[in-house]
Amino acid sequence: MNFNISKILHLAGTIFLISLSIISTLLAEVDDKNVNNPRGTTITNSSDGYAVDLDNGDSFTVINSGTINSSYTGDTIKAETTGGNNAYGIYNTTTTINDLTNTGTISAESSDDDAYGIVNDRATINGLTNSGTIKAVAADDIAYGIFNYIGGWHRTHYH
Amino acid sequence: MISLMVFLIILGGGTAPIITDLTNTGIISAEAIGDDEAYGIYNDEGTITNLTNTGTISGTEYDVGSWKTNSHIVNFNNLQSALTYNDRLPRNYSTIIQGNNYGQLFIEGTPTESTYDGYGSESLEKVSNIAKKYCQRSTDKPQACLLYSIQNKDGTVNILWETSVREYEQEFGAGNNSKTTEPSPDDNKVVAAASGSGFFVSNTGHIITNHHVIDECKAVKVNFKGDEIEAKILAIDKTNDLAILKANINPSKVFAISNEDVSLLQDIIVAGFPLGKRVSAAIKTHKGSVSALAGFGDNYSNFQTDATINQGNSGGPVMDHKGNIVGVAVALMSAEAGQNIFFAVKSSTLKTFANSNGITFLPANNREMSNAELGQLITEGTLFLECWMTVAKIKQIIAQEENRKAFYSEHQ
Repeated sequence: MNFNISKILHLAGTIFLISLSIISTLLAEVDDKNVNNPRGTTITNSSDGYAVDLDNGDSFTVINSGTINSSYTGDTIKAETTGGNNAYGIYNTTTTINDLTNTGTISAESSDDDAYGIVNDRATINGLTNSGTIKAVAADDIAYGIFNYIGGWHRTHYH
Repeated sequence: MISLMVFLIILGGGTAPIITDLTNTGIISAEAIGDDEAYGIYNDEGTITNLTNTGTISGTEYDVGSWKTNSHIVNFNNLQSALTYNDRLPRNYSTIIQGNNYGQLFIEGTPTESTYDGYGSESLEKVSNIAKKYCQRSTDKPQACLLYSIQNKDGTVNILWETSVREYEQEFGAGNNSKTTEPSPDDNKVVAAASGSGFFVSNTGHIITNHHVIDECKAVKVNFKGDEIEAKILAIDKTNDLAILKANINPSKVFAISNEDVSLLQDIIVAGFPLGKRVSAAIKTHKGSVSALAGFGDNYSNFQTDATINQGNSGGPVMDHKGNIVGVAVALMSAEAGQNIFFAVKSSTLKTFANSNGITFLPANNREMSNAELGQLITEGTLFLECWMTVAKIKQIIAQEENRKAFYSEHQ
């Protein structure tokens, strides 16, 4: 999951939508960086299921006007965390997102495991504003649009 | 004390996830294509504060779920989606505190009043629920119960329960699910129950609104320049959902009615008091256009528009830019069914009904009005209507499947 901000990673996948005056661009997964994804740009990851992965404990800002999409269709890829071959649009764990604004699309699709639009795992999101679409589609398991979750840490008793 | 201990346990145990200021005006959706669970928002041992939803939050199984231990939703304003609160665990410590829920509210498990005693148990406090409420949407879980009412103006939780619709129907037969388990001694009290909109069509105080706004009201009161004035019901048309009222008022501005029905893509303006005076006491307007020349189910006495109509807009004027009435706001489709689908009764239907009851309208205006002129006409010619009824009647109507009234939160 190395970060690569190359503007046009998949040149062959670059599409020009002349009629809409949008240049569609594909970007690779974003790992522990601020995100400012403009309209017409897609951050995608179909290899290990994490489109935007924030897990180093820092604070970030995520502004998405384009598309953040992860998909998982195979069954041989090893996910970074336990839990199998899930798909995550934004995976925020033990970090802080100070502003998450989505006017575009954040989506996760999984063919054989869970799909999560946004995961907030033992982490904090200070301000999540969505006027676009946050979507999770799981073909064969559980789907979560937004998953506010305490992760692998579980209490066992109360006294 | 228990609460404090729990708090300390949280601090000592790790970091619970927090989302603050979650505002959704778009779409948050989850779809499980197979036979599995899907949650629009899943709050699992986390806290969500200031959740405002005026868009769509949907999951094929649950829209918004607050689950498991120490899951909290605090300060929410949910206009559309279903909110599910789970109290299946014996000591859940989960809370839904302080909010306005205009969507459906589902309670899972077998709640009893004792589990809401506020001491170490789950709490569901200060929640105003405006729409119909069901305990469970799933029919395969037998321990369903219908949440009847949550009222907490004075800080105490007051929850009335009904038996599950299914259990009740098994016992009492289908079509009657309005039995309450805790009748209140205040049931005969007449209170302001619901609100709608209306508009003047004569300078002697004739008012047009929807039939469902005034249906079963013990009294209908018009808010006019700070006064509450009782209006008389002159005529009703249940089929087309129209009513003519008369109040002892001589308004300075009245609406004329368009000579022609709307045309496709025509620009229109909707005015009224959506959501009562919850957002503000000011009159609200929405612009849009005519989306279809028929209403739901090929009802050609209605037309469809994308100008926003909410609960409380019912009976309000829909006009063109000349200030002529082209429709009467009447209905909306749920966000789950589709976005921006609203309906109004056509002016021709209104004319037929009114003329049959001896009401004639002012001749239509021929010139376009400025925004200032339209604003003045809307402000002075549009009315906030209140339906007063007994508490017992409110409970009965809320329990009915087809209830369309915008009841006040304290009655929910």
